[in-house]
Amino acid sequence: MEDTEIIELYWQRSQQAITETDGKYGRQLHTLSQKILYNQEDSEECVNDTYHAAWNTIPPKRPEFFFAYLAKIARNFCFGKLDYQKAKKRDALVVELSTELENCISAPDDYTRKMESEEIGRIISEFLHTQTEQMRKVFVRRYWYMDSITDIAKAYNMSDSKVKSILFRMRGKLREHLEEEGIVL
Amino acid sequence: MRGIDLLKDIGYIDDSFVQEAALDVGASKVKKTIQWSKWTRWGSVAAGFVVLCVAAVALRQGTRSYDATESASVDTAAVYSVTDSVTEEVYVEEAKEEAKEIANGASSTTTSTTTESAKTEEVSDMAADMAAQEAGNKETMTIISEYSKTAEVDGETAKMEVSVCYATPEKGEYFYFYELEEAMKAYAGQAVQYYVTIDVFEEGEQLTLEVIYGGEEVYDKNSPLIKEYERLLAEGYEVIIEEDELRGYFTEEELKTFAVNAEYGYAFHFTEEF
Repeated sequence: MEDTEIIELYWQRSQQAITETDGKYGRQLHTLSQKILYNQEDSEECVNDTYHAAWNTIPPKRPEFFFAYLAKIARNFCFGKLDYQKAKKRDALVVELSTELENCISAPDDYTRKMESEEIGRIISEFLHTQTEQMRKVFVRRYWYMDSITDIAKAYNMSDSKVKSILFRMRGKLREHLEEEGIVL
Repeated sequence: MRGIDLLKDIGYIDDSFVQEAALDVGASKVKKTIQWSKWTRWGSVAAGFVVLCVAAVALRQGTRSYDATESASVDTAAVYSVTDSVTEEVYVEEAKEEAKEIANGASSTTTSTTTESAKTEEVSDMAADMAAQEAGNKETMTIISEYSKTAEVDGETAKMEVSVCYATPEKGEYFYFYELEEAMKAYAGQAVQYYVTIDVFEEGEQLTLEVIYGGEEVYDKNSPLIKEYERLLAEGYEVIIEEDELRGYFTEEELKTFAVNAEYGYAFHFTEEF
């Protein structure tokens, strides 16, 4: 079923909407959640929360990019749950990616949050607009979808070293962009 | 800011980027897969099997018609009317437009009678043709950077995706990917240049560019691929290093008589295909 048809089911308040959403995107949402939480039960809960959130927000919303809309909700739920679980040992992947991204920040240990996440997201979007499509996709696969270097290399028919090289450059450029936008502490 | 915060905040980027990367991965299921491996060597060159599949994506259509059944292993029962799709940069047209503008500009001081207007038109066409001729052979060549076939399936235009398994080229040998080979057949004898990527292999392993980090990023000048790039430049080929790849503009003749380094094997393909 096309995304527009599924969204129409939400608008008609048909519970079939959830079934269709799960059938089409459930596996991808679950994979994403699992990468962040590294826990089957919590991941399942986040995906279910995502469906509820979609049910409660469509209508009035009619998302242009339905999967991105769902995945963003799921990702936020997952990180929220990660905060809740922060006393526990964090998933190794999250630690790895966080460490990589700290290279984009001038003073990671002296953090005082001054901007809202949405604003920082907008600034990062500005930066991504200036990048080539290929570089952008690699970046998004790594830091949004949290894919491994090897998976990205396979998806885009590149060598692992090329993926690493692209990410290295982009982190450097992102650091400069963030500094220009005043995200320097 | 901590890394974990930035990782969370990346979650707020435009939905379009998220969708773009998601769609791409979905598309990769029907996209051509290319495997380089020693154990799949089937001799000197090329394609072992070819599977043509159809993906329903809108494409602009070319002008020539084929019967798709001429290709090997067409994986569908439908009968297609196939057309070529090609990306071109035609410098001749640009030269003509430029010349027309010059001619029209010069004519602005003349009278505006119908006869004179017609004459101006004629002059501008002549000027355009002369400009195109003067531009020389290479400048007036069409650049081919992509080539694929499309088919009509249930009234929709669909791109025919080709899945090919290639053998790694042996020392001193080279071959073209399926799409490039098809393009070379379609444009045989015409004034075109092919914009391609050249994969270079040594003992079955693909050469890659090593980047030296620290302050400014630079390529390692001693890396074999940079040496090969320099050799090809010295041979007179129009090659460049772009996005960590060895690429170049080649005529049909240059591709057919490519001067190999006996230590390496080469695979030529359109840049967009990888």
